[in-house]
Amino acid sequence: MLSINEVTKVFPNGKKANDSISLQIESDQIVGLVGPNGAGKTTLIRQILGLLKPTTGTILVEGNDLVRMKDNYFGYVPQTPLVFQSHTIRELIQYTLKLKKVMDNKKAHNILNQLYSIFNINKWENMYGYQLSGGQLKIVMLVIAICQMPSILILDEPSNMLDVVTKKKLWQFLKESKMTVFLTSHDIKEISVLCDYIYFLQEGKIVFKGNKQEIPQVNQLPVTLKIKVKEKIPEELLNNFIISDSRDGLITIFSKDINEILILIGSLRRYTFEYLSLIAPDFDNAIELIMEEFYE
Amino acid sequence: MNRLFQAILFEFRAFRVFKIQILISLFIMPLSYMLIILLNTGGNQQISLYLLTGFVVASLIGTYVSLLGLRVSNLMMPEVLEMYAAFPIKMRTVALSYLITYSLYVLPQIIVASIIIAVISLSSIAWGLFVFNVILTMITLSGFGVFLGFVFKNYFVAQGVLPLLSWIFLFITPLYYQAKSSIFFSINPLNSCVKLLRHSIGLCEGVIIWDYVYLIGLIIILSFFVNRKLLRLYLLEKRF
Repeated sequence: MLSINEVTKVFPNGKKANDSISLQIESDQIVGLVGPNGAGKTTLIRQILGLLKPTTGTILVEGNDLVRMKDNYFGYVPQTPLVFQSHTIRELIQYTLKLKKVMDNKKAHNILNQLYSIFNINKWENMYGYQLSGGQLKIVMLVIAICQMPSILILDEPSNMLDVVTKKKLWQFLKESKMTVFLTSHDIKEISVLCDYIYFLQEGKIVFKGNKQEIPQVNQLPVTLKIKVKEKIPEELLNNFIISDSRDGLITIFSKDINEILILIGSLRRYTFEYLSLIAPDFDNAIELIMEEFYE
Repeated sequence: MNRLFQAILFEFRAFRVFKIQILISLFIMPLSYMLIILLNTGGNQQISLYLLTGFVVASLIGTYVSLLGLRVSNLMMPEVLEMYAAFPIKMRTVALSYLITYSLYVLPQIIVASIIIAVISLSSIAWGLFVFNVILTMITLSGFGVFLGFVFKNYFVAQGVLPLLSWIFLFITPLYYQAKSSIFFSINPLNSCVKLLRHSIGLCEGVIIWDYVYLIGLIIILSFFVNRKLLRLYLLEKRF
């Protein structure tokens, strides 16, 4: 659907913001772009939107060059929401629908009704842009982008400025809407909840890409075993493991090798278990680990 | 066309918030200024017409160079371009909607001044030519305003420079003072604008063909630059 091929962007001052970036966004996929501040995420988005020209490389939308695109293909929500201050929210939304020529489109109105209900927009739709909070402005930008029913929705840190409840509502909507979304984020939870595929960007280069299962860091994370037994466990049995503070007899054991943990459980069969839980490394932890590595 | 119409309506709606400011800048200040000009002519028809034609060009300078120029400069700010990227509208439609909106915005002043010119001069006006020359002046100055908006891409710099430029144009053009023709005035396109207006109401004698050639040539050059900029897709790239 969207194909970015070997895109490099060098600014006139010589700064290389993007370095041979290639990525693909397929239909109905939510693709995340993660990276520290200044990694080149916004520059890449500006090139996708056609505001900046790649120094080398191509950006193709359904096989066509951006220059040949006749109509707005993207819905876009910038990181910092900026809307017209001297119009009401209702007017802004109506303006968008009229420009997009979907004033009488049932699907657009259904989406809009859904968004109105999710974000309680009725309460403040007659307020002017200058009267709204940052979070409300962000919601307005999201509504404006989504009600256009774009082929690809581009979100620059979508839940930045939103409260926890609104964030979750947005995530649920995006997941259920089956829209094609390309987003940037620093929010581990957001990436793990939303993204089908992730690209990590560092100093303008993609340093990792993959889906949830392909993230190598998942395998580097320890398996966590929590046990509580009536009897005292001999120390030699636990020598090979990292153990955290035990309180009330609850012992937390970490190991990167799941087989070692399973052998340990086997050797503890004769003990009387009061509690046992086995926690595999999850996607959130893996993302966190990657981000910590890159953000340092 | 529909998008352009919607964009113009949208611009006009934005004026609601500034209604007091607009009432002052659109009616009270210019019309009271025009009254002061007329009171100072002592009833002299020739001087009144001379100053009123100067007033028409001065109003257009203020609107296009200052206001339109600033609006276009603001449009070229990265964050504003990003904001517009969220709406299904092309930048050339937005820029054109600004141009038409500000032309409509200044029109009441021009109409009032034209009516007074008509009343004072009675039958000596070539109306068709006068309207044509007003439109030619509007096109020249609006092109100039849009061009300057693109040149001063930093809105904060433009806020200082464009009003100053407006004032310099007023200063170097014989709008409110008499001046003998010289090369200095000949190269100033605003001098050609006011000269054509005065010619159409019988105030100015002499050859005007070169003024038309000069203004039309300038319009072509400005249109070339403006189109080159607006038709370009990559608006955040360094321009010109």
